[in-house]
Amino acid sequence: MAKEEKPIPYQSRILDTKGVAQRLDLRYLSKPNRFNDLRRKLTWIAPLVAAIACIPFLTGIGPLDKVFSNGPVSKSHAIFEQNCQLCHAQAFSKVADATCNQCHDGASHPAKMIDTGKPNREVRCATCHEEHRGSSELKIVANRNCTTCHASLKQSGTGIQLTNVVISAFKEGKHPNFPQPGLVDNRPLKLNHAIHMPKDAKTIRGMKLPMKCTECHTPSANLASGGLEPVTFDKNCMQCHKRELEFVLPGLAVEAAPAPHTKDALKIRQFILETYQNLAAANPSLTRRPLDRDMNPEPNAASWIAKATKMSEEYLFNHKCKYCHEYAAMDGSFPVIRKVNRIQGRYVESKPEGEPWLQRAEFSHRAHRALDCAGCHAQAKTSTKTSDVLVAGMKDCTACHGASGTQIDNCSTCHAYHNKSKEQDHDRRSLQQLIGKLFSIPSQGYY
Amino acid sequence: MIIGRDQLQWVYATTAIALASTAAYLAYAVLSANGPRGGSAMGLVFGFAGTGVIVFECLLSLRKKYPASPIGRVSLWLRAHVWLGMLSFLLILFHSGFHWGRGLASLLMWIFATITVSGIVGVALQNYIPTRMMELVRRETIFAQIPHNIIELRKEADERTEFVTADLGLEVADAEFQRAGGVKQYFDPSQKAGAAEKIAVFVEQRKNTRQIDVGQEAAAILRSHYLQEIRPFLFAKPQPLSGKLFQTEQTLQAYFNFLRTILPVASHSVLNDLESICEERRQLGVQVRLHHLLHGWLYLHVPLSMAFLVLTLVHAVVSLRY
Repeated sequence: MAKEEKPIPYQSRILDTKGVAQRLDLRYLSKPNRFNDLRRKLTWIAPLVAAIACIPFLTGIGPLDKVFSNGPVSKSHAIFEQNCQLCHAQAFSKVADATCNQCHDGASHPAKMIDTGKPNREVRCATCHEEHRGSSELKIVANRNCTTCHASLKQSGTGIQLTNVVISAFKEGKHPNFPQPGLVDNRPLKLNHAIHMPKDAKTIRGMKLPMKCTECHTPSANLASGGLEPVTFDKNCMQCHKRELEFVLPGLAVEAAPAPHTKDALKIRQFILETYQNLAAANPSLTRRPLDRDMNPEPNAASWIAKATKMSEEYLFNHKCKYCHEYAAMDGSFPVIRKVNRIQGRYVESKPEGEPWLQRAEFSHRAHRALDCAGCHAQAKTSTKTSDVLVAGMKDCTACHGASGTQIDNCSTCHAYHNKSKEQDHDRRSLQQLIGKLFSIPSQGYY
Repeated sequence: MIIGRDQLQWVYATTAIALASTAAYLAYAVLSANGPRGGSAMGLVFGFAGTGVIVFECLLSLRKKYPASPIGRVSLWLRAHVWLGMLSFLLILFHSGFHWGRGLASLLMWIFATITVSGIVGVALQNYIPTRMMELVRRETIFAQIPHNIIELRKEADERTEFVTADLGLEVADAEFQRAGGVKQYFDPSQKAGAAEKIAVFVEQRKNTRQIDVGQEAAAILRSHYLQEIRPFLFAKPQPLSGKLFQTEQTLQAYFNFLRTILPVASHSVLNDLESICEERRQLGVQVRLHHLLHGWLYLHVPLSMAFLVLTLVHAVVSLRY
């Protein structure tokens, strides 16, 4: 018979630290910890992968420019994007000017001959023309490149009277105002803009008024600056003002071609003489008409022609030419007309080609041809004197420039740095030499 | 690292350096003709300063590897790591002129941003999770012991259940370290043989007959519930159904309250212990989750930092070369 066993007494859980400690495996420190191991492995693998990933690019197998370049190069240099060494010729040094000079001359500064000052420090090309800024234009440079030297005009410029402005932007008070106060148009020519642009429409001598500005002032498609074509008598005035060259004495009641618009008085005299000779030949009875108020006929045709020529000269020089011109003096019977020079830009008596109204800036009428002329030259409609300066003021420009937040606010939009007139067309390396590639241009298929 | 008032001096020092750097950057940004760039003299100064700090940051791993080295306490290094780390990101932003760049530069910025954010998240977690763990995991143990603890809990649960059900028909547990009561005992090696023999007797008795007699039917019910729902929860990866059943303290209590209503009072002490074991297992699960949350960011932070160091070196050499 089996011995009856007493049941084992049931002991409830004891949740003391001893009970917990008894469950611990004291060998746990020597056992591998998969989480720590994983972290340790990753700590080695990650830098190793990074280093290995860089090898192809460092050895030139991968696209070096895309990985290590700060940003895309400018549009004009896009063709060199893959050839880093072309500009970065020397390791651990900045891009030298000589690199740029392989293609560009980098003409001297200042840009305008009016300025005779010398730059007070040598500026590297890349200082102003920053590459790897995206596909922007390199010629657009940040304002501070200019204001570093030109913030105070007194220090940097020569012959500059505006010294009370610290230039920092193209805004009122931060840029010298223009046109200069007290500026007068000295051109010795009588011109009344208001008469040409009356408020009420009318037709005089076949010309419909008011005239359009562009009928006289045409933006040039040929000039690099996009400036206006010169105004000339033959092109712009002749159609209406040819009667100012008519010399035939009114009492003769004959028609003849007007005198040529020329500085050569002898040529005019000759033209008048020939005209009368031709008129006399065509109509001999003409020479019997009296020329004087006393109504006495001339003794012969030669005398009549000589007298008619003299009287016509006096009529022309004493009355007609003065309609527009000013006389400095009389040289015998010929007037000495004050030099008008080419009607383009600002009048300077000693400079036949004149000077630009904006002496230190460039302005392209062609670039602004979409605008209404009166928007900037409102005063032209009321101007009655030649001496009125009708150049647009700074306030006319600031409507678009200065606060746009775009590159059209930059100094370089209006002011040039390099003196293009001094640019030398030296022997440049061909594109093929530079990038070591031969570009085949597909045939245009001309037959 | 717990952020507390004791770190005010670090806050002041970091803020002062950050303000000084910001002032220098603003002056540089305003005065530089083409705007701030990494390649300019001042940009390089910021770059070198930032890189210096980054190198110092990475040295923390080395400092931890040699805890006895006399170059400042690890806690001091850790504080410097956290505060200077935030400063280094600012310095690198000043270096880049707040441009993200492209190619390698952009990659570096992304990696650095990830490292910085993961570091900040890590500090935040270290300040939040330990307190939360104290609330949620009252029976916390050493993290590396958790798998072993779960096995031990399962063995204990088996033994305690066998008091009511007799042999559960499971594989024989190692009797050397156990006794019938389910509480482990360590024995003197000289007594080991004798103790093991004693235990073997207890185990045999427990498996052969029900030590707590609750009747055949009740024992079968407990056996069924134990094997189908309770025991599957006592594994490193609990079965989904059990995991759901014991997901929260409330569901766990509800489950065992139900068992207590259908089983005789004699079995309640066993049920209470099983509930305690399951609760402990549940809390260990919470501890695992919180531990992963507390340390998981390091799997991103540390390897990325090392990769960043290598790429920074490449970036520096290539940038200076060109």
